[in-house]
Amino acid sequence: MSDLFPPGLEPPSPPPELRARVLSAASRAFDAAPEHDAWTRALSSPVLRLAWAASVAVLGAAHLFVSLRRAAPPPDPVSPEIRQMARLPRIDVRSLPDEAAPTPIRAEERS
Amino acid sequence: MVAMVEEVGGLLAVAESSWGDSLRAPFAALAAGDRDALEAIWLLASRRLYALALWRTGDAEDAADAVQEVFVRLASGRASLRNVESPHLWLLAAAHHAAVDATRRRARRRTEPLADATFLVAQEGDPERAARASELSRAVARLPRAQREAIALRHFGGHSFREIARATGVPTFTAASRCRLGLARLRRLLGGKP
Repeated sequence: MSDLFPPGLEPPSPPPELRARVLSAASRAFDAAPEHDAWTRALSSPVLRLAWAASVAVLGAAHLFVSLRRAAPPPDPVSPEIRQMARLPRIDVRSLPDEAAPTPIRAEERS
Repeated sequence: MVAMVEEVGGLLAVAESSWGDSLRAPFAALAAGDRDALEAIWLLASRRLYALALWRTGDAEDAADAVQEVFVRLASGRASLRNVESPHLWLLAAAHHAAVDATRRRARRRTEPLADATFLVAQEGDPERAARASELSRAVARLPRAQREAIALRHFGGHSFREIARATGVPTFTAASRCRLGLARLRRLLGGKP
């Protein structure tokens, strides 16, 4: 304690009538306060909050783990339709019989 | 519990740690719905809370209102008390906020200036000590509210600067500065060395 405050001096006590006034007001507030049900208590429980946060973290980590393990193959630049066309059997015109060979288009037919 | 608390007596003389510890049981009881715990808390804490509020507000009526506000908050929010780690710091912080609010309300009402409050009293009926208490009270009244509060918490509550900082919502350095500057100013006002 500082030397400014000699022993034997102290802040005053609360006035005697204050006790009844304060406890009466507090008692009214006690009665008016809503009783918390089991759900409210559960939601305000630090243990359950921690468990909830831990489960969210575990789910997030599991999601990342599974996503990375089953990474999708790189996309094919060639479309499936073109790939199918490339697989069609090629016809060599020279191997066709004469009657099946395509007739060349004459110049007058072009115009 | 109340009977046990009454045996303590001389509340300001109770060591700080034991004060904080002794509040744990009534806080837990109140959180569990025991109305009698309010009276136990009154017996343990009312002098300290009233002193803090008086030194902060500078007015006995405002201090009484602030103490009442603390107990109303205790009773109405009792369900959340089970999560309170330091009951004594909870009470000091609540008294600080209630005292600040009481001061603001008074400023808004713009009532007449406050009469000199009695910040210190002599324990025994020694006239010399009573005169010294009166002289100190007049000097204390001229200090800024925040400095007065820090001095009350430090020198009459026996709290550390860290606890004062937590109760008043300022950094520890600020709490220490308020105390040091307040004491220096008090010395000047009393005509002593700076």
